[in-house]
Amino acid sequence: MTILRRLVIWAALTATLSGVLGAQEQPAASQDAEIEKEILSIEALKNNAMQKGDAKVLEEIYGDSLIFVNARGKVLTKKDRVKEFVSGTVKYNSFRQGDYRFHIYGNTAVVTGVACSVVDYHGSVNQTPRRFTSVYVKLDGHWRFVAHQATLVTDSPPGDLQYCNN
Amino acid sequence: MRSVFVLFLVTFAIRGVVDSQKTDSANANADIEKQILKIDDEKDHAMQRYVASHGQAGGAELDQIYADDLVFVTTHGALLSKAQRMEDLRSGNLKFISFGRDSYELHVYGDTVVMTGRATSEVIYQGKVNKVPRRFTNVYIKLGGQWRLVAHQATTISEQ
Repeated sequence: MTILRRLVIWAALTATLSGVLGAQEQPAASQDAEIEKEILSIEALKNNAMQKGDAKVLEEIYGDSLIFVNARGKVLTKKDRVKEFVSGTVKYNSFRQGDYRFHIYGNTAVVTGVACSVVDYHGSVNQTPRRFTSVYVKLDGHWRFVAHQATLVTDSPPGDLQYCNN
Repeated sequence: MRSVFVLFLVTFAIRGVVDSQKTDSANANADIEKQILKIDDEKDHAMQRYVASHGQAGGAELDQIYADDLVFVTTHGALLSKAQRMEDLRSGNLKFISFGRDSYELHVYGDTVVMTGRATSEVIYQGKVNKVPRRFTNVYIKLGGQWRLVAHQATTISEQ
């Protein structure tokens, strides 16, 4: 086999492989985008239910073994968290949550974001922005909210909380 | 009479299979929990070595455990990438006076594990001593056959 012929075969193989890999990457990226859309719509439902104290919707979205760490470092179960909304110990004076960033790993989505809602929690009003991480896992075909942790933002690089300032 | 007996046998057999599957699944989860606790321990040891040596030791282990797209939220609410977290540890911003963690809880969802716990380490961070316990959540995901830390968040405990 001549060198030229080998080069032509090599180029053809590389082009074919690159086409196959490119085609595989595209569906993965579009699948992730689709998952992000699904999670964002669930987040919207959840946020709406939190403001209305709609236990039924929250119970649907929350995983049965939800672990929720609030901005005071207190660990709440699904039952504890739903009870807070039903009893009215958590009330929103204003609601704002966004700057979502997604990391998708198959049937798991890790979502970080910022909350700058003004919240009345057990009688004391909190206006300090919170950074949160939420974890969604697809269980029996449904995305469920299985973990959440919030932390008060007391030291963050300039511009990091732009979302709250806009 | 015969069909009742057959129904009884079938029900008994199905129940046996379901119970056995439950046991297998519980054993698999227990095994995963053990693996995660071991890796988390290794991470903590590597981190202490990395901090004490200003990045001269423990870096390879941390690099293996931290996922490339790690999201790390500090007790001050700052969001750090893997590179930023490594730099924070290497730079001397953080020093351990003592190291402690307890009250672990793990939830296994296939190749995803959510781990929560309480950190009781006494640290000096950016020149300030912090002795207040922190609650943390670690998310481990199996990527390419290895458990990797993909997310961490810590929150100072102000209410029990």
